[in-house]
Amino acid sequence: MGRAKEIIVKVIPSKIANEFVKKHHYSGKVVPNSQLHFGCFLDDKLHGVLSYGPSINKKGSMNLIKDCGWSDFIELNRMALDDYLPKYSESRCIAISIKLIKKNAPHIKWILSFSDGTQCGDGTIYRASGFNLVQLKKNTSMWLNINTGAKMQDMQFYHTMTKKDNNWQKIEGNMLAYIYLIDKTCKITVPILPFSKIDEMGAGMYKGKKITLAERKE
Amino acid sequence: MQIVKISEVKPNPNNPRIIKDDKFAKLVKSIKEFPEMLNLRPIVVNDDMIVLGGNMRLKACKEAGLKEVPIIKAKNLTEQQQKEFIIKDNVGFGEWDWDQLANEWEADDLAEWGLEVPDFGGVELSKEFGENFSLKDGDKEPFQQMTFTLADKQAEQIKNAIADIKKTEEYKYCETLGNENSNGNALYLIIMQWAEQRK
Repeated sequence: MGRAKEIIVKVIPSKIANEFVKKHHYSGKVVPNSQLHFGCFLDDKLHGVLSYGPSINKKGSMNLIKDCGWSDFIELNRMALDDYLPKYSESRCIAISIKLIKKNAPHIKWILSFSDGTQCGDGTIYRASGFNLVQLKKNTSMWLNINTGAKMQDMQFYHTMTKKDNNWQKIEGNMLAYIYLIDKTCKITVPILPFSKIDEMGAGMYKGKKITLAERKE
Repeated sequence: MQIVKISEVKPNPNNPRIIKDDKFAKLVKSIKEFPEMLNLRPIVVNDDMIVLGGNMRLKACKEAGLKEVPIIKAKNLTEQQQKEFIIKDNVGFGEWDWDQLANEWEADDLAEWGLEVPDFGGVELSKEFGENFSLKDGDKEPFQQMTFTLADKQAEQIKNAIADIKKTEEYKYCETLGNENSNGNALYLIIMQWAEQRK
């Protein structure tokens, strides 16, 4: 694991976390309802942020676990680390954040996270951290401006674009959902997908580039 | 390597790479300031003159107003090899040695040339950052948010009605059911009055 072992994870205020996320997350955006932010420090400096909060579609997400209570889960909705952090830092930071959630919020039984296989990746980190793949579907909600590279989601696009603009095109991609069970007695209600499904569906992506798991030898 | 008219080179429609606005602007600037770079790293095209490597550079060259560009033809590649080339040409196999960069290069130059330099002067680890927090437990609270789309005029009417009813005596004694959102309570009162009139 090397220097990743030296990373210290602490709870940090949303203002600091959000500034970091805006600067280092590929989307450049924060999730407004994030309520718990972990800062990842190496050599006494902040180099990463993990933000957790309630799911936006909470009712829908609850159905993923049998008999799930309203407050039984939380979503890891942003993870942004800068290039200073060494290999394996993501898994290390996720592991520590889960440990702290177990300690401080023992009612949280599971964690949900989504991987944006349209622009970012297919969830390498989640697989390495013991998450289960529970959903893999085509994501057709993203728009790209072919001239500027700017991106928007459907809702924002239809809200903003009042007249036809041929510079905007739909981006084809995938959305993957992962679940980590803190309470191993929880029952996932949907089929757990084998990771090989990612290549079968042509959904492999790493750091924004289309590449299969086989090519990465994962 | 050969020099061809820029119009002869075709962008690759299946290129999976994109570029952010600011980085594209830097690439255009960099080509304008240092066009010789293109001779050292020409655009790679297939037999049909479709770009395999350098899609962004081609776009930036057009933006920079270049009429001709240096190219190298990757001849006799299978379709699979072409796809492989597109990805492998863009995969960064190495990692930056940030200590070396910090000591030997100017951070401003690196940023200007399009490298994302981590902010080493950022937030410091402080004793104020702890490991304790609490998250709400229990069932869903008996409150919810509702969203509607309204025409501007409709929205204005509703805002005015809410503001008006807040000035009334009835509003002071409105049944809130524990809700502390004043607009929600005012809207509920308006609806209740409307329902009363319909009886």
